[in-house]
Formats: sequence, C-alpha cells, structure tokens
Amino acid sequence: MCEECGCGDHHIVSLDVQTKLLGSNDEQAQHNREHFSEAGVVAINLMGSPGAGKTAVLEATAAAIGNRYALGAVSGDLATDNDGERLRKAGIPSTTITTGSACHLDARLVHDELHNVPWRETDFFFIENVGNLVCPAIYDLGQNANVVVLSVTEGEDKPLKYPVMFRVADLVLITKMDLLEHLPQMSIETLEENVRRTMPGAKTIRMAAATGLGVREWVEWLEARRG
Amino acid sequence: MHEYSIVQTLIGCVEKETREARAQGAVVRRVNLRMGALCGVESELLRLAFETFRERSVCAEAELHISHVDAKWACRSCGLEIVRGPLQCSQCGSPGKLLHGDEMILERIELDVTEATDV
Repeated sequence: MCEECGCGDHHIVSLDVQTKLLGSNDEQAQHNREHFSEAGVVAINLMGSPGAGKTAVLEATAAAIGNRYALGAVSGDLATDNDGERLRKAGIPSTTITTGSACHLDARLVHDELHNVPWRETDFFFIENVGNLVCPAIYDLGQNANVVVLSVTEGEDKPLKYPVMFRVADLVLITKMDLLEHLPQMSIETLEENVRRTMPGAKTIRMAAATGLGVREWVEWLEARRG
Repeated sequence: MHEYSIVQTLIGCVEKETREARAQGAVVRRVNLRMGALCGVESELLRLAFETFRERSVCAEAELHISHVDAKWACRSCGLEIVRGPLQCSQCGSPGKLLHGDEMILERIELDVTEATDV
C-alpha cells in the first residue's frame, strides 16, 4: 500500500534484464563447437520431418565414402534405437539419445552423449536430430553445418510453412527424387524456389538414396567443409 | 512442442534475476518478452505453457507480456532491404542477412515492492 497518501496503489519496480532465453544452450553449443573444432571433426546437424530420409541419407553416405573417412553418429529418437541400429549396420559407429517426449536435441544432451561414442576419431560426425521440422531449428548443438533433409513427397510448400528451419540451413537435400514421377502435382522447380525464399544463399542437392542420385555431390559438399 | 521447455527456461531466468528482491518480499507481477517472427516459438503455445507452469513458481502472480518483432532482411553486401521473393539482393545478387526477427529475449521483469522491506 502506498504509505505517503494511503491511496492503495501498488509500488511497481521495473527490472531491466535483456537475457537471451536460449543463452545457456548457446553457451553449451559453443563449448561443443570448440571440442569438435579442436579434434578436427566436422559435425553435421541433420534435421527433417519424420520419414524424410535422414537415416537413408546416412546409409548412402557410408556406402559412398567406404573407408576414405571415419564416420560417427548420434541419433535422437523419442522412443526407439531403430535408427542407431540401421546406422551401425551401415558401418557407422553410433548411439541413440532417447528423448522421451522431447521434440528436439539440445546442446547439453549432445554433449553428454559424446562420452558414449568415439567421436574424436571421426572425420565426419553426424547428429541425426529428432524427426521434426519445427523445434530442432532453434537449438544450436555446436555443429559445423545444418543440413535439412526434405523429401519430394512432403510437398513443395514446406519451406514456406517452416521458414525458421530453412533459415538456419546450410544445405537442403531434396530426397526421394526417384518418387517424383509418381507425384504429378509436384513441381521440383517450385520447391526449389520456395527454398530460395526462406534460405539465404540457398544451396540444394537433388538426391535419391535408392538410386544413388546426388550422393557424390553431397559427399563433395561434405569434403569441402573440412576446409 | 518445445514451448514447454522454453517456459521452464523462462521461469528459471526470472527466478535467478529476482532472487534478492523476492527475499525482501517483492512479488513478480509481469514478465516482458521480446520475440521475433522467426524465433521459432508460437506465442499462443507459449502463453498456454506459461499458464500451466507458473502455478507454484515465482511467476504464480505474474502476467506474461509479449512484444513482437517482424523479420527484416537486407543484402549482406550492399545493405539493400529485401522485401519479397528470394532472399537474395536484387541489385548485387549477394545472399540476404536477417537484421532482426529471430530474437527471444526476456526484456524486463516488473516487481511489486509494496510489501517489500528494502529493494
């Protein structure tokens, strides 16, 4: 109560804070980034919808790379180790972060999981994020690059619907190109134009894990990241 | 839906920033956020999450106020604003750069110090 005149007004004090809400995640991500950089590891944060073909991309990558480079991976999954199992079968040492109900990986989860996988010995370390075109976009993990996997079956408007994801992408892999002939309504040119409207300096590769289309270009893109 | 984890982070920030003031009897009445159109969080979901989590927290008696910031793009080389179409400069062809619109910031906390001893 106001003591001076007894008017009943509350005394309000304003506290200027200006704190970034994801500041602590960003700090942890920077720490991860230093780890990767010191070890000469190129870390790739692979994002995309459930079923976009993230795991298939990595299987194709392992087949194309063979013994030329050491690969490693960690995958985020709500409930299963299925992706991890597929990746290990493909010859990529990998573990799974089971996130329960969490829809994305964050920098702390990735950091803690690094104790369980021999990431230091790898040339390319893939972080296969939880299948989701929304939430993972805003969590920096300390990656060298963000790669978004978008399949042609998802429709050409997805970049416009999920601009936050495409804004942070360094590369978009347009997957399942072999299915395009079954999608008469789908225009690949429109899809690519929509990527250019949401991704600055847009870079896309048309890919089909089943036929090997685009895999060489993708591996060359990866090699260029080693700098 | 990551709005729940964002709200938990938000309440944690408020808790930390107001620890001293609350010890002296101040009550958190209002929390002001600044959010960009491309920050990746839905305001309505965030409000819903805030309503769920504020009970029994330092924000129990606080309202959430969100001010919105539009996304603004400009050429990363010559600075020309990019209004529509591809995120590429129509003059020099360089990629666009986001000037603002991705922020998610706890700006200000308003404290009721009517009953406080000394703030």
